[in-house]
Amino acid sequence: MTSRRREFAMPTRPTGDGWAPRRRLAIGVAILAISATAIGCGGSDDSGTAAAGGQDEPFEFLCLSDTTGPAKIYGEQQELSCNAATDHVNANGGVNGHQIKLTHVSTNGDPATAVSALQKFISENGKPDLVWPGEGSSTVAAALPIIKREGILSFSGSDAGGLLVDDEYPLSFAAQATPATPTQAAAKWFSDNGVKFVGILEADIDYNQGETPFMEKALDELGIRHTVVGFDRETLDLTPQMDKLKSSGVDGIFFEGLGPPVGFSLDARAKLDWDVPWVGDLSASSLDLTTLVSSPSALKDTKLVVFRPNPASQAELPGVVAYKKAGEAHADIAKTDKVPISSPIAVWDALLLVAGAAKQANSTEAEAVAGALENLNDETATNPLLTLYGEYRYSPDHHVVVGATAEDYPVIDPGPVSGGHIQAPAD
Amino acid sequence: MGITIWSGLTEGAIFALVAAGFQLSLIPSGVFNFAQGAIVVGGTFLTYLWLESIGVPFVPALALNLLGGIALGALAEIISVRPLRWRATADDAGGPPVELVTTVGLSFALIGTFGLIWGYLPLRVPFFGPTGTVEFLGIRSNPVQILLVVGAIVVAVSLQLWFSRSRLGQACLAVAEDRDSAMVRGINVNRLSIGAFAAAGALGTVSAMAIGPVTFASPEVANLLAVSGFVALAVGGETSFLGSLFGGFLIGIVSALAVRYIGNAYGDISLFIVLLLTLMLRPQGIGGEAQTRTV
Repeated sequence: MTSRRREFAMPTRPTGDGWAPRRRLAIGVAILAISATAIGCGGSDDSGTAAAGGQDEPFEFLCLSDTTGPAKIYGEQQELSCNAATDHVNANGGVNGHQIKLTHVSTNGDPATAVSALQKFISENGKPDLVWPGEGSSTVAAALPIIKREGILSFSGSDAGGLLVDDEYPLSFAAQATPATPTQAAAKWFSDNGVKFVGILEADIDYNQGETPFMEKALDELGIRHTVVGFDRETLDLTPQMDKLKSSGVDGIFFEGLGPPVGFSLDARAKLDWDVPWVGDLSASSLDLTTLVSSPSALKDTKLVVFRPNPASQAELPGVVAYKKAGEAHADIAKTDKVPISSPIAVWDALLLVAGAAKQANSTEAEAVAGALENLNDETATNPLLTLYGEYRYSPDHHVVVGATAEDYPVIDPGPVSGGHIQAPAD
Repeated sequence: MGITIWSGLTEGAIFALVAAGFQLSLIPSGVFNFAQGAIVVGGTFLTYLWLESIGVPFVPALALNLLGGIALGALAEIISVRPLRWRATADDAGGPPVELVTTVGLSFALIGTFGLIWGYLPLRVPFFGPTGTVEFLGIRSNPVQILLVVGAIVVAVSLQLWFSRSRLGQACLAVAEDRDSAMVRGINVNRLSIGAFAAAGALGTVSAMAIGPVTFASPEVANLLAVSGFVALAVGGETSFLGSLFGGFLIGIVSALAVRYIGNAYGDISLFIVLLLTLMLRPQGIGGEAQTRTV
């Protein structure tokens, strides 16, 4: 039976919590619209604390993440990352001389709760200087209109389903690129390995459905045929879908989805006695793949497209080392190292970029910092302590990372996740 | 096509096992325990706890799951059903069954509790038997899938025989037929009710030892199991274990074939059609018996 199931959130990936279907996104936006109307749409003209006050005023940073709900394992990491990044920036002079004052509130994995938390913070404390509205696309999408209305600078781990790829939200940025670049990395891998016909297995969630056109375009550019088969994210078995792909003659699988269906797909490939290569997308790499298959042999000929800091070989990346060192002060950092590091570390990159842009603009005013982010100097854009990308660039109508290259997305063999990194597979 | 049918059969076996749990508590108590799906999920977490976290051998783990299921089932009856027996219910006034609402509430409470304890990430539940793939009837399958199909058949046949041939089983059917008359004839319906819930709980947590390795242990599987089990029950008939076994297999296979040969979106649509046709052509379910009503 096609079935419905689970919605645990995912770590850093282009549109966030993955288990959020389109309707949830729409509900989140609707809730926000109603709440905005209810409180009487008049936005405050007040600047954030640091921007409004003198040098002694703190730079108010509101970090929203799910530390109590379905995405708790990721949300706790983000909270710790907010703390580590705050400590690091404060130790290096703060944001244009202002020390960061961090407030964390749990969203419980719910867009309505996130919006309430943001509104409550504003009504009780005034506008924060910076908001991290989380990573889930539905949560970010729900928070963006308030952030825009209040004129607050924001950074998120999601582009909220493409909302940041125009100038609609001039003060909101994502520490992510569009799916174009990671799909190019996957398509190149197929091309390099002689695959002629790729079967795209697509989950019915917003990020994956948005990712498919990019993948099709990337394959077209390399002259590789493709076909798409969808699946319900709550399925219990993907044998029918994999059998359909097998009978259509594909010689490579590109999997777009996360959680148990990853394992179902690989188990189905083994049951079909089918030895075509299988490449998982960024969302597939958000959990330890070795825990999702019924037998280690199901991982044969399997690859994952991952964020740059995820492989164990990148554990010595300067930014990763600095991040972990800063995180040691918050000892819990080690307890949540069973998911790839790209989830929490996006907050780290975001805060480094904001600090660099504020210094460049010599201001903590949201508009000034946003302007600097759109024209980052090399010192900030290529700061060696940045982790997810080698270079961050934004433009006025493109508030997702435009400087990303295929090298930022290695295609690796999946092994167990330990210390926040995907280890080499056991022999 | 063979492997697609087998895939549907294995999913259908899971739904049939959940449906059997529904029936086990429904027949003697008259209450549809929506929390049965959550109890099965509780069983998957218990299995993970014993076999993976603590490392308990299989037989003691089985016994512990059995006890856990009895406790969860009895708790469900005591918390969500028994208090309503002491007061006039909406049933008496011809309204909807209030117990259904309380068991739905209990289901959410259990799901939230499991989430608090174990989190929401899917946990791989180890299978106590062999893993990997084996050839079975010319199809490559996981051993756990074979166990699920065989187990569902054994459970359905055993319960069907027990209810139709044992004194206690017939007492349960008498209660299902007419609770008041059964009480007048000396049947202790309260004891039957809690016993039935405990037995259904035990069935849920024991079958979870085979269901968990397929579904993972995850709080959010509970509603899927409850809804799918209900559809199997509605198609098969509420008092027929063989009927709900057939119902589970039917919806599993129809859905898998629809996904394979028409498209992913047609899996749910095909189920709706099966359910609709059943309710139109045979409202009592495929294995159910028509009720005679005197007017």
